[in-house]
Formats: sequence, C-alpha cells, structure tokens
Amino acid sequence: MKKNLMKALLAIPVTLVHHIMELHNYQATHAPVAELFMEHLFSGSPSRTTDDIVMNVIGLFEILIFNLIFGTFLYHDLNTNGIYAIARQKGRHTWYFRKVAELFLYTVIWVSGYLTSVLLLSSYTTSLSIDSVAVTMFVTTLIILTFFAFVITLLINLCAIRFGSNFGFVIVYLALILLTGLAIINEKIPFLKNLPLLLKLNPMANAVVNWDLSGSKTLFACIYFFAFSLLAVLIGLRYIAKMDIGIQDRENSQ
Amino acid sequence: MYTIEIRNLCKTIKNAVILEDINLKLESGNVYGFVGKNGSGKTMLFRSLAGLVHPTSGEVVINGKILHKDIAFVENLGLIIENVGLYPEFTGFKNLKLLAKINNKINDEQIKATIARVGLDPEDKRTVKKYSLGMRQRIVLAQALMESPDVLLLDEPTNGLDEAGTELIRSILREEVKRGALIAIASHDKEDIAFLCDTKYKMTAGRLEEMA
Ligand SMILES: Nc1ncnc2c1ncn2[C@@H]1O[C@H](COP(=O)(O)OP(=O)(O)O)[C@@H](O)[C@H]1O
Ligand SMILES: [Mg+2]
Repeated sequence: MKKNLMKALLAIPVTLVHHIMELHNYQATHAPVAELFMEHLFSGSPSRTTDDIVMNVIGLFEILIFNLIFGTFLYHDLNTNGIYAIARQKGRHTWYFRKVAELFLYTVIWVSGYLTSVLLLSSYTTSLSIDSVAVTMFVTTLIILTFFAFVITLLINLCAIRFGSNFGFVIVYLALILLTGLAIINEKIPFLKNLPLLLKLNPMANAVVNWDLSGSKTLFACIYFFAFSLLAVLIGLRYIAKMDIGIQDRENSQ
Repeated sequence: MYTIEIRNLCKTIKNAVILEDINLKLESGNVYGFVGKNGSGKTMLFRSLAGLVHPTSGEVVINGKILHKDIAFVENLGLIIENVGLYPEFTGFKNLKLLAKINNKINDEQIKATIARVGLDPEDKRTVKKYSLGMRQRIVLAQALMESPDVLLLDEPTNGLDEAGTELIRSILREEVKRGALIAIASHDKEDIAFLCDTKYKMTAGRLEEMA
C-alpha cells in the first residue's frame, strides 16, 4: 500500500523531468495559464495534421509511464503470492473490486500529481495568474485523463491475465497506436470523414483534450470514458469469475 | 465437522485430460495423502479443491455447498500450493500480517507465535527474498497454519526442507489433526505420506486409486 502510494507519487518527478526542457526554453510570456497548460500537456497545436496528432499523442507520455508501473497490478496477485490472499476472501469479486478500487485511487493520485505539476509549470512561465478558466480546464482534464489512464491500465492487466504478462502492455498499446492511426487517416479519407461517429468514439480522440475545447466535447469525453471504464470493470469481473487462477504462466509457456 | 466430497471431477486443458473422473470423500480429523509422479495431477487436484480452478465437469461439495455455485472458496482454509511463495519484498511477519488482515481473526501475537512454531524468528527483519529455500517453505506453512484452519490443503509441504524441518512439520500436523482439522497432503515423496496419513491415494496420469 505504502509502496504503491510512493509509486503513484512518482508522477510528479516524471512530469518535471519530462517538461524541464520546455521550461528551460520558455520565455516568460503573457499568455493565459489555461493556454500554456494545454500546450505543455499535449505539446502540439490543436490542429490535426499528422505531425500534430503524433505530437499530441506523445503528450500522453506520463500516462504511458503509469501503465508501465501499474500494468501488472492485478495480474501479479492472481499469478503468484496473491493466491493466498484470494483464497481467504468471500469471493473472487471481493478481491477484484478491492483491487480495482485501489487501482482507481492510484490513478487519481498519479494524474493529479501529473496535472498539478503541469499547471504549476504553466503558471510559472507567465506573468498572468491561475484564473477560473485554467481551473475549469484542469478539472475537466483531470476527469478525462484519470478515466483514460484507469481504463487503459485495467485493460492491460486483464490482457496480461488472459494472454500472459508480456502481452498485456503490447496488445493494448498496439491497439492504441492503431486507433491513433485511424484518427490520422480520418482527416484524409473522405469516406471516413463522412462517418463522424468513428472519430467521436475513438478513445485517442477523446483523450487528447486540446483537439476541441468546446464544453460539449469535453463533457462527451468525460461520459465516454466513464462508460468505457464501467464496461471494462464488468468485463473484468466476468472474466475473473470464470478463469482458472494461477495456471496462466504454464499455459503460455507451452 | 467438515466434509469435502468430490464427485466425478474432470479437468481438461486444451484437450489434455489433467484430472479424470475423481470421486472422493474427505472428513475432519483425518489425514489424507496423495502420492504420484510429477505431472500426475496432484497440484491440479488441490487447486480444484481450493476453488482456484473450475472443473470441466463434476463438482466439489463442501459441507453440502457446491464450490463455484454456493461458495467461492473453502471457508477457514489453510493452503499451500506448490511453488507459490509470499511477497519477496516483505518480511515474513509483514506478509502474514497482510494476509491475516483480510479476515481479522488473529492478532500480531498469534502471528508471531505461528512463525515461532514453524521454527523461524518472528522478529527477523530480513525480507523473504533473502530467505533460504527451507525458510521460505516454513513461512508459507506458517501462513497456512496461523488462523487455525478447519481444512489444510498442503501441496508438497516438505519441499526444500531438511530432515529437522520435515520432522517439525510432521509433529505440527499431528497436533493439527488432534485439534480436529481435515488435512490433505500431496507429495511426490512416499515417505512423507506414509508417516502421516491414515488414508493414502495414488495419482497416475490424472486418475486416483486408494492404496492399501
Ligand atoms: N496451465 C496448464 N496448462 C496445461 N497443462 C497443465 C497446466 N498446468 C498443469 N498442466 C498439466 O497437468 C498435469 C498435472 O500437473 P500437476 O497437477 O502440476 O502435477 P503434479 O502436481 O502431480 O506434479 C501435467 O501433465 C501438467 O503438464
Ligand atoms: Mg505438484
């Protein structure tokens, strides 16, 4: 518990290191904090040329680190020592819900640490102070990125449980890269452009907050990731209930 | 009083038959032994009994309650599964404390007493990572014993233990059965089973037969 908490707080140094160069190159400006906040987060412009999309997605670097650290959070218990903990529970769901709740807590801590660091960096580089626009943007981004990071990490864990520890991260990230590619070609292929729902339901398009800062889009992204998370939790619950515990590694090595 | 009944238990993984039509009745106050070569299915049987693995067909019934249907796990179970250790980055005591917190049945003193009972130092500040093979086996045994379970499922409990350790386990298990526990032991070592068990079974390629 304490160890995981420390790991979740790593978000702060990771963010600072990641953004230290930008800070160094930064000239003090008079730009609003909210604008700088977005710029620091996604390190690209809100337009959607291929380069911008790639830069925007790379802006989610801190989430990737979180995925790497917590990508075997549930998996680890199911395959090793945790068997003695699980066998002491009332049911598999008791174990699962506790782990999911813990994972969510660590996600909140991580993303809060991440975004707070970026917000402070942003206010440091401008003469203007944090205003209500910046706070609103901070809160919206916090909600969206927390659920995004949570659902991705949960899916990585579930894939690790199903396909082996080495595959969880790889499978989910391949899917995310594919979805980013889809967001890129969406602008270029008229046929896809005529299917606006495709982009609207693309998790990457929802995770990159600065693609559209109008309120309806961010509200949609919040609801979208909440529903997505709920679905992933339920799928996980069902899978954990049915699975055989502790024989996955053997299955994969055979 | 505990009764565990196994009815027509079969387990198949990817077309390989691991357990084949197992029928068995186990009761409190007895020690049951399961011998068999490596790969004969002892560990899979114990995983099935503990509720960790779903049978392909058949069922495990504990005190009239069907596993996976009426209950998820055996209540008051002390479990050892072959090659499943504790968290290497914690001390023995911390590991046991984490597990004990789940059901809050015992206090720190009782945890420490159990650690001493298996011949380890309760105040040992080293992490399990630094334990020898025998010490690891002992701390895993302490984990299984600490809450005075009604059922003890012990898969290869003497793995990695020297003679003194094996002798200690035998005397502890004699005390446990006197207390009224139901004990099942799986081992590839016939001698282990011979010393302790009232009823002995032999596993061969997923099939079970009672030994004389
Ligand atoms: N995850 C798995 N996938 C496929 N086969 C398995 C798996 N785990 C065990 N087995 C097979 O089940 C059989 C019984 O294994 P096990 O129960 O570990 O035997 P024992 O404990 O008697 O040594 C072996 O043939 C083994 O190869
Ligand atoms: Mg075995």
